[in-house]
Amino acid sequence: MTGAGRTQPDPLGDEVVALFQTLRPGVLRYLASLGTPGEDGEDILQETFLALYRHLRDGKPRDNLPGWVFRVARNLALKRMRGEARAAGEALEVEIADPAENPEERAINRERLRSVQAVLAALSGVDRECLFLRAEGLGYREIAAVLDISLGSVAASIQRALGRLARASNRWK
Amino acid sequence: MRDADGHVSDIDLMLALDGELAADQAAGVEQHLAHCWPCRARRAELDRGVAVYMGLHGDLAAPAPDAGAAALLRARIRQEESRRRATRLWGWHGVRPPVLAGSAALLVAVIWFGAAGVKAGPLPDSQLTPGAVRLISSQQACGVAPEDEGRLVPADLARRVFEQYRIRDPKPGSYEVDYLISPALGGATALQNLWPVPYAEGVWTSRVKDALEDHLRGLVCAGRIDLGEAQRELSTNWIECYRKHFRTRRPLVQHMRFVKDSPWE
Repeated sequence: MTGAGRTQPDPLGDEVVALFQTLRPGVLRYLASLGTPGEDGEDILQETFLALYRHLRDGKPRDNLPGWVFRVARNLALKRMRGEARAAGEALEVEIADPAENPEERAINRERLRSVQAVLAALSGVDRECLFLRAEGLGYREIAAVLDISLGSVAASIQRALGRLARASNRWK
Repeated sequence: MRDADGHVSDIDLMLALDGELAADQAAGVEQHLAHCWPCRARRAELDRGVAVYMGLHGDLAAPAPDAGAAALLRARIRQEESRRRATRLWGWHGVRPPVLAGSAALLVAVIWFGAAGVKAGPLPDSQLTPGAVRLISSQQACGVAPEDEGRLVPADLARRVFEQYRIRDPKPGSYEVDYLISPALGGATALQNLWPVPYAEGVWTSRVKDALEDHLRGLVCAGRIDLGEAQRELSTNWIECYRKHFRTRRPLVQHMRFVKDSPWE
């Protein structure tokens, strides 16, 4: 390997790799929830952060970087799924990953869980994504940028969705 | 924003809960809540929604830390930069030198870069050829027979690979322009994933590598390793990967005879 010794300091590369390590778990979970789990998610993550590197290298805005990362990853995932759906001749359906797969769930009251999951499944895609991104620690401004909606819509989505979840859970107290 | 009865609206309660209000607005909401039990009950309800949701969200599998993923990103960033640098250097001849001091630094870089040269061998230059993949799943990789995958490198791309490795007028039949990560395992037909492998040098030929690739694909399709791992092993150091998988220091005889690809003509 003749090029192995030719590494030069690259602070921007360091920054991008550090951010990659911080955001990787959350973005992978988000990608899985959108329908691109496992290796597909990892591939999209790589493309996203390579794009982030180019974005910063070209001196483009560096505010709200986590929001930028989630947005680009989301766009790549949707683009890819549209391509796959076309190839398979199927309608695109975005489903949140089924939490009932986890054995730990069995300990929880099944009826209550089912009821809460039904509410979650009945939420609009935007409401569900707002909840997901908020749970991953993004602020409203960041979520608005990821989903390309207004701040007011983010607040309304989250308030509406949380209200429904709480009511569904209350029925099984 | 207050609702018709003068209470804090649900949206403002939500914004206050999530710390999204400006300090003076947040103080106003707190002041109202101190006196208003119905508003506090509504806020508690939203908080309860958070707890219910997190009960589900917290159970989503946390991806395992993966040093390989960060290393792959690092390698791709380096590749990106070295390609840009190479493009700038190649393009420099026709450009008027801008400032003397600056151009001297560039000139040193050109000489150093040129003198270091780039040697073609059984392992690629990790900066020129770090490996590049297409976005495919394991199912897709296993759904297509390896011989169905287009392995022919377009002549124009092959020419650029030789250029990149500073090989002028390669003798026909003396090299194979090989994929670092094979197409059957998701490797891309891209400059970053191709390098010229001399046929005449040593025992670590592209034929041996083909045998390794077939072996790795078998493991991926049997679910024994994942596709990303196979790609990483190939792109990190395929010879070490071969030694590990076949438990040998030298290529096995049957693999040295393994013929699949035609040489670059």
